[in-house]
Amino acid sequence: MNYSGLLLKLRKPEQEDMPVITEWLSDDLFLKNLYGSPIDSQQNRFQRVHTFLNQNAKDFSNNITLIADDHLTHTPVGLIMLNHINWCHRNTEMNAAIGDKTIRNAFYGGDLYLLGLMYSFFALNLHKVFGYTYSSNEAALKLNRFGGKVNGILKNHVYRNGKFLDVVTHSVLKSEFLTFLESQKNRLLLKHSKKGVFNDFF
Amino acid sequence: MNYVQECQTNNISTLYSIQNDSENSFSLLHSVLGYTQTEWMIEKKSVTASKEFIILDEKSPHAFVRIKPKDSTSQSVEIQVHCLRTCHQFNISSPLKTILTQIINYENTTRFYCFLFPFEKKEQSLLKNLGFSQEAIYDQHIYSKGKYLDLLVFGTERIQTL
Repeated sequence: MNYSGLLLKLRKPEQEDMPVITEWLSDDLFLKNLYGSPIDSQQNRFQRVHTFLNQNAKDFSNNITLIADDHLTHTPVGLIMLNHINWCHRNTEMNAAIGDKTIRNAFYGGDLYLLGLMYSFFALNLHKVFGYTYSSNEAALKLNRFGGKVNGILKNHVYRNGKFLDVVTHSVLKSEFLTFLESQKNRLLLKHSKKGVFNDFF
Repeated sequence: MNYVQECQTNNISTLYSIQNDSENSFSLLHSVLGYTQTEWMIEKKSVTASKEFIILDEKSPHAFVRIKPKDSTSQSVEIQVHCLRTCHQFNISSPLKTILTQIINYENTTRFYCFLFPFEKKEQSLLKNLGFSQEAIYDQHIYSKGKYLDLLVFGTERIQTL
């Protein structure tokens, strides 16, 4: 598997990655914006990471977790979680999160998101990637328009930190993603194109 | 007069036979009877099984309602509603409201949501009458018979509780 972006490289996590992922799952900011259930104890975090590895080991798992390494430092910096993969309807819910606090910015986030979509469409041959974002998470809302569109807003849908939050649902079809790559290869994705990030796929 | 009955094995047999010659068969197949009658009975024994109801009169069933397990943190419940062919002649809005009110009262639920296909017009109209509004469209979300179908999300406003 070789999915390299401009700044990051995607791979499946190994056992030695467990401590760093567990540490990310202890970070309040990481969890604040991650859609899903809160993880409340160190033991649960460790169990969850263990589950990631076990699920990855199956050929047709419904959940796949990938880790992204920084090209320069070769250290893990973020996670892609493909949850509820439906092999019949060929869709998945994708969550992307940068774990390394020092590089939480649009460049790394964008690269991670792009790699997640590339893996979903070109490695798993999925038809659609969708996701949920808390309406308060403006950075993610911006990122989710990366080739896709907003499907709607589920009003007061989840309870977090003492209040009900709206949840924005968004999605990208494979056809939309291909159009996006084609239209942006000399603009937003110029550096990616020059580096040959998409060479294997076109 | 319409009334509500919890769905039992004899009801599900009726639904299977209706499904076989129903225009709306895909809808039932997709979310209600995607598995066989035997599988349905096995699932029914599970602790987390959904609650299922039939709205019917003395003669025949008119709608099937499934209440999925509650998301305790968010106090939300997904429901599934399927109107059968005869239901336009009957008022099923009132029995459905009774079911939802019971769920609100007994399970501390403050929001309902429901996924419907665009062609499920009867169900959409029924939910709108009960205060649901369309919140999202999941485009090309379900693959059936060689093509992708959209899925609509209908939801209620969060009921304010003290």
